[in-house]
Amino acid sequence: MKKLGRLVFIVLLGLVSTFRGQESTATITGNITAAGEIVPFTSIYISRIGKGTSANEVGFYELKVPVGTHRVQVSSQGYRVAVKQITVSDKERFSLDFELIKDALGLDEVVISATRNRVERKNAPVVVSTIKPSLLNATQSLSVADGLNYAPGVRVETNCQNCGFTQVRLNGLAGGYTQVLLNSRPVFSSLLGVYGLEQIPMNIIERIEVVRSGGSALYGSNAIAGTVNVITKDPILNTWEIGSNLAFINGEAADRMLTFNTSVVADDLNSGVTLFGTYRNREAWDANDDGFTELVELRNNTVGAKAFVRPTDRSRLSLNLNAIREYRRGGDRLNLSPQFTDISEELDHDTFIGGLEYELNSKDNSSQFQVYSSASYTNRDSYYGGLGGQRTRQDSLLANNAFGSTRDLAWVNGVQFTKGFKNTDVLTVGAEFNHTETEDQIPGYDRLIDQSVNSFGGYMQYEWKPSEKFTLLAGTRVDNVQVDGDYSIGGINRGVDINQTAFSPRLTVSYQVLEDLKFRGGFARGFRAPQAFNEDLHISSVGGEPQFVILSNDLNTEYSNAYTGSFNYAKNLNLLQLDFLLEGFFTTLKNPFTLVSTGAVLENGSILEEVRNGEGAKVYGTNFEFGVSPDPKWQFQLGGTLQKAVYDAPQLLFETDGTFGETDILVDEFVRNPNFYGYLNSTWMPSELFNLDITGTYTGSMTVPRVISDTGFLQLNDTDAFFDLNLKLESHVDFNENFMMTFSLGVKNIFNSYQDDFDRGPMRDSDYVYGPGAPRTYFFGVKIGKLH
Amino acid sequence: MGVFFITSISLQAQNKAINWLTFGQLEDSLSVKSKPVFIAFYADWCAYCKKMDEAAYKDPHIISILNTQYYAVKMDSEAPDNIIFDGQIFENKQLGKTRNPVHEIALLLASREGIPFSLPAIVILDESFMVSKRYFEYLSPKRMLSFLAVK
Repeated sequence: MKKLGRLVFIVLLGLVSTFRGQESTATITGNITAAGEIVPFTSIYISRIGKGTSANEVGFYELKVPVGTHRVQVSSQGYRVAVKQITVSDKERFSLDFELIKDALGLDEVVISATRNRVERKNAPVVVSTIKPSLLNATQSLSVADGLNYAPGVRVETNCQNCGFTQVRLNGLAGGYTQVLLNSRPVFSSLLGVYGLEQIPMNIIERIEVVRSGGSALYGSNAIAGTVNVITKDPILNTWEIGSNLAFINGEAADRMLTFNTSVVADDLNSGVTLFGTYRNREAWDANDDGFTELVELRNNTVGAKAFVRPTDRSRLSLNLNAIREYRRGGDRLNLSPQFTDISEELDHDTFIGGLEYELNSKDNSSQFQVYSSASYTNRDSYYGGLGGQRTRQDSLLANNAFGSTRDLAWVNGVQFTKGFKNTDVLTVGAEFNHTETEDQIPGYDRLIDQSVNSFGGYMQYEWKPSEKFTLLAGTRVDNVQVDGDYSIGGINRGVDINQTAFSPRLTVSYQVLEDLKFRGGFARGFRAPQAFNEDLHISSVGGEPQFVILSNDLNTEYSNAYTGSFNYAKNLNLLQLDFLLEGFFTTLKNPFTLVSTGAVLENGSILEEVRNGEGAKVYGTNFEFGVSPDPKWQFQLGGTLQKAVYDAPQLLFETDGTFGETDILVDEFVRNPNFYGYLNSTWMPSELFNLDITGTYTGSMTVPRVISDTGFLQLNDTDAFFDLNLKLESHVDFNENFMMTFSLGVKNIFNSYQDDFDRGPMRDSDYVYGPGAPRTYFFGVKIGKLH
Repeated sequence: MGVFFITSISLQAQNKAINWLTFGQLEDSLSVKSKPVFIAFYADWCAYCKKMDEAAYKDPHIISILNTQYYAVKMDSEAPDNIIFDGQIFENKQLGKTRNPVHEIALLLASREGIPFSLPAIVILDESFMVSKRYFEYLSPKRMLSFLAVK
């Protein structure tokens, strides 16, 4: 009895009989192999005529097709899709063999950010860089912000020794040019910004998608440089996990972290919930023993839940809730109340984020309708100030009145409709209403920011695929933005009251030049309406006094034109897989919002920086990424950016008050922006029990301004280059299917490549920070649970 | 050998777990007594397969039906070893050539026209060892019961 043999016959007979009775047909036959070996049971398909078959157990196939030219596609799990073209004439047999190559670098993964819909990354008309949990894990990233450096064109920088303020720079453009999204929604308000990124726990992240350049057509204002989209996990299994990480910064300051998460999903998968929480406590650290922090004290507690229910097979309702409590304190004598210290910056955030989303699919799954509403509310108590190195009655009075409070609301509502057509074209239309309200006050300094922004946006996008090689994506967004803001500090009052409409079109093409080579090119327009952004709310300290930012009057809207072009080459030689991306970008900025220091003009001697419309600027350069994986045990990635960011005319950075020996400071290029930076990421995984990760970032030399006098006079310093290399060892033990453990240990910044010329003492310029975020740090981690 | 399995199956019918057989054990059992066969393919990375382990295969009704009316076989579709069944050697020919090497037996029983091999894959064979039903998606306990119970 050849039972299985008979079975094969039955299965194959069924397939072959489907293709009988064709007229004017030819037959294509061939063998399918990979690295010289037979690949059985691959699927062979010609999409244009909707015909296909499967190869048999020796990798042989036979397919009857109408006369003409066909693109034959072969796919099999674990291999990359192979396509060949053939022209056949009547009643002949044609031979067409395929050599398949396995998929190692995740080229077939699915991304959302490029078109707002789920598409395969390699087919996306826009270059999407993804950062996966494995990379966040390899770099021992405790927050999303830590892991972001590992995508081309992205750099996370620390801006303040007193509050640990950080921002993400995309292609060299400052934080305000990047739209940070959580599950494609802009719930991070201007206040939260990058703080928000630091507050998302790592253990709920599925992946982070980075799209450089021109996101405005889909995501609206502020996405000039691009988007960073944090996608959270959708659970299937019932799992639980408890993790703990202990690190010692420079072998001294402890950084303790505890995380947990658990998911419960119903047996029919129609409902489920994930609960998660994080506790972090990082001690402050002082690099130069002057008694003032370089790394601030940090305490963060986050709890959250994400639940979903599918009322029917075609619909889904989901809810997410996050509550974040974050405390930071930097300066000196952290054990005292802030008003008794020389310098203190103390921030206590209480943030609540909630969102509700409903999704409905049509019967044939060709169209989808979404409606969503998300809101985040932050209540913040702050202290920016201190005695500033002196003990006069005036200093004491000011120090006692440096307490402030902030209220910040961001509310996002939208609908989106997507329709996929038979010819694979896709239409996406949507509308959004966003409302933000920020009120930030410090009565002691007579400081107030009271701002409300309403924006109505409508967008439409069409993805046209006239041939399998060519895709055109055309879209536009219309935004009506109303900004109503009052800004005052120390008796200076400014205001913004605008109502304007802006068009942000985008056009992208992609063309498969060769089997292994894809070209993508695009243009996008973007704009930013004048308003206070995250970095404008930040207060640093210089010369023992706080340094404030205020908007100037009559600010004009900033516009950008961004052009990109890229080649993506993916080549496979037997088991070796290569992926190479070379991307050029050219962005022009008109009226860019630029910080200009007007010196110590406030009554108490504080320095005031003004946001003005600066000189036009050009930001251009190249991003590259090279990935190679010889086999599953080895993986290597190297990426970086070579760029310039120049003003069309010398840009004023400091305006002198006429003090002897001081002049205006003008720059030709952007400051705090290296012309070369990059990363590497390599993994050796000899078995499931053990893996070794070596990761690192390179930050090239840049110009960093430093305040050197009471008047706010600046010195422009050229910094050294930094190479921050991390090593991590990890071991994984499965006790049984319900209980597993992971141990890890390693060193971050092994070579201790770290800034060595921090400003000292109570009069220091707290913004004079650059390079890697932390010195050499040792860490240990344990995770237990039903991890998978 | 075969007798041993028959007795062990009847003993385990009341037990709390499905008496999963290997292909080798299946051959022995079939040579003693013909019965429908329930074959479930899984892999390490298949979350939906694990979900079925948690749900459907823990369901007392399903356990009882599979243990009494079927021979239940569970196989890692990426298993590296050679399997001798019905006098033939079946091997994992994709081993070392792809990151998800699918075993010959899994390809034989759970391949589909025009669609790459995918998991979960469940194949039900009738008493004469002919394929009667195949499922290529997650099955909730309710869904699985609905077709297992139809005898």
